[in-house]
Amino acid sequence: MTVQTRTARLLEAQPERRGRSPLADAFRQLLKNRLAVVSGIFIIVLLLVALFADTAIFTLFTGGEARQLLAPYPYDETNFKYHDLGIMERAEDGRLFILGTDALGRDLLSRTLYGARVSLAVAIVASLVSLVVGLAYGLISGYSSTRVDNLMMRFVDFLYGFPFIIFVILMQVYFKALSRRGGAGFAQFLVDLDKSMGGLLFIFIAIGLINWIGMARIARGQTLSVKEKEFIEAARAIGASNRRIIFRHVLPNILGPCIVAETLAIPGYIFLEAFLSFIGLGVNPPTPSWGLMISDSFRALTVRPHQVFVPSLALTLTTLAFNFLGDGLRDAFDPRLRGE
Amino acid sequence: MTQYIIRRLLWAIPVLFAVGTITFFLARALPGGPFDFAGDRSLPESVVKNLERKYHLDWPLWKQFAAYWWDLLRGDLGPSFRSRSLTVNDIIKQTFPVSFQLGMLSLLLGLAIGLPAGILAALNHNTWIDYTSSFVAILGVSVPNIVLGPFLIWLFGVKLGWLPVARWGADYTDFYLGFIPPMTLKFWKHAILPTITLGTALSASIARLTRASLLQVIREDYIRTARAKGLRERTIILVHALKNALIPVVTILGPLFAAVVTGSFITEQIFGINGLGKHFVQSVTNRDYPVIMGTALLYAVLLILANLVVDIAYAWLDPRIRYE
Repeated sequence: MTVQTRTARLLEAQPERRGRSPLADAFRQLLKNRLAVVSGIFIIVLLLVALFADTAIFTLFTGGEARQLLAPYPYDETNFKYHDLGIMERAEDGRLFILGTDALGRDLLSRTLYGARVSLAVAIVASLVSLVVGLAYGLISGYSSTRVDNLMMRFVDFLYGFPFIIFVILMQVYFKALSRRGGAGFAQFLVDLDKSMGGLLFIFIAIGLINWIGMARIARGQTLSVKEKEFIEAARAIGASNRRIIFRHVLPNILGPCIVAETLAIPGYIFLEAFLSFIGLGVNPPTPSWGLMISDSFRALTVRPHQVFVPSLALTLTTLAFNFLGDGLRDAFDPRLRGE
Repeated sequence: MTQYIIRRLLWAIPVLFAVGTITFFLARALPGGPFDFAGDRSLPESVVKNLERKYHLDWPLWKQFAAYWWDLLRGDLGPSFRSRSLTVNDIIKQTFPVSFQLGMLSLLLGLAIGLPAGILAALNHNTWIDYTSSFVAILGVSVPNIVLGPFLIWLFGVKLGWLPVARWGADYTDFYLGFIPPMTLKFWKHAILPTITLGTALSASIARLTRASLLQVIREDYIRTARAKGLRERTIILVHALKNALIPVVTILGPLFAAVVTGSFITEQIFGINGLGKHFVQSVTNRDYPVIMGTALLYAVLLILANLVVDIAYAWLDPRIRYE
């Protein structure tokens, strides 16, 4: 066999190998993981349910009343005639609520569907905030000189001794009081925005304040290991600017592990929102959040357990999906685990 | 090493000061005061004025702030504005051992289930043992406390009627002995459900990490060397592999400790346990400033100590790490 044909064969053997980015490669790997794919589909369906529970998304800009689309009833329609119905139990006038109703006669199915809005909003916004802030902080720290790096990491170490759950509770109490009393200027603007979001804005702020710290540590560690690699040296040798090196070479290579860590952190954000709503410091009633629904019916656990179990199941399935997806992403990004 | 520990403890002082300062001003920023209500009726204005004078709430804020730290240096955390017969020291003495017992039992449960499950899964890699254990573990990290708690109450308390559904089975005894769980049937009956509620997620995450870490270690060259030397399999796993595999597990114990603190807030709320976390939520609602401060500082001290212990254990497990 001549050298020429061997080279030709080599090129032929891996034609698609050229020009694949690490992200596309990982995505292809992810599609082979059945559980991760099912979880991804579940999350997409949940997202669609959250968006199209009613037509609010269409009337957001045009104005007008939102009509029910996927959810059979509005989440806040109370009717004492229909209170505390069981699953598939018909009311006296023959009306059917598939998953039953709560103590105020609100349809549990509708409230659970609407509840996806809160949990997914928290999942998306909190993870984006934490990813962007943590990534920027960690990248700058890892890429900077040792002195700046030390200083920035000292600050992170400093924050590690903070009992954040205590600050979050204090802040939520403060925000709740603020939105009852109203404020002036910017504070009033925040209060109005928070009200229009059913109390979610202040939860975003509280969760965002805490969670960038872990991400900053991961991003810094990754940056430190990547910046010693030969291809960075090569890029610098041909005169690439710092900006180009950071955005074209460092960032794409550290993004994978950071996205994985962030996906696996999402259940934690969903838990935190549910916890805050459970102790009455989360969303404003009657905004349906799964945590609030559990808390509402917790007292009736002995007689009407299904009122607790319906939102519980929704909550668990959602966090389970994010965990499976995160696991799948991790396997896809970590070449050492491949082919097992 | 001693020097390192001393330096770390000195480093804790500014952290504690920052935590105290933020908590102090956050608590004072809350609208309303501690004497707005007594029970469900409001107090006459003159009484409120007198109470405020008694607790120096009429002083300027900076003076109150300085006075708080001065008292703290002498070990006095101040009076409770709400439970006026108790000081914050009393409240912590009564409630902290309960939270501590709950947290420690859950952590022990987490280690007792998580470590063996992770090791078994790794040693039987890609068999049904591995798949079952991994699946149960991912289920365990996905079920939140506020779902697991009510479910356990419903199943074992309501449906089967085997276990009590609320409260903690140990009363305040002695501050130091209170940390040790009493060996009474009543205590354990009450402890089972809250401990499982808080411990499940811990054992699941410990199992996942142990499995991943052990899988990596048993592919190392020195394990092959040990095998080639003809060592017994048990010696290889227990002596050579496990010690190295435990390093990542130990590092995660710090963040896990923080998770225990957060989790104990929820668990105490669900089971109506009179621990520090439940007390804290109440004290915020009551604007009981000294209790808020005391709790925040205590939790900060615990977090700092937990991180320090983790770092020391880290150096002990991995002789390559030297603190100077």
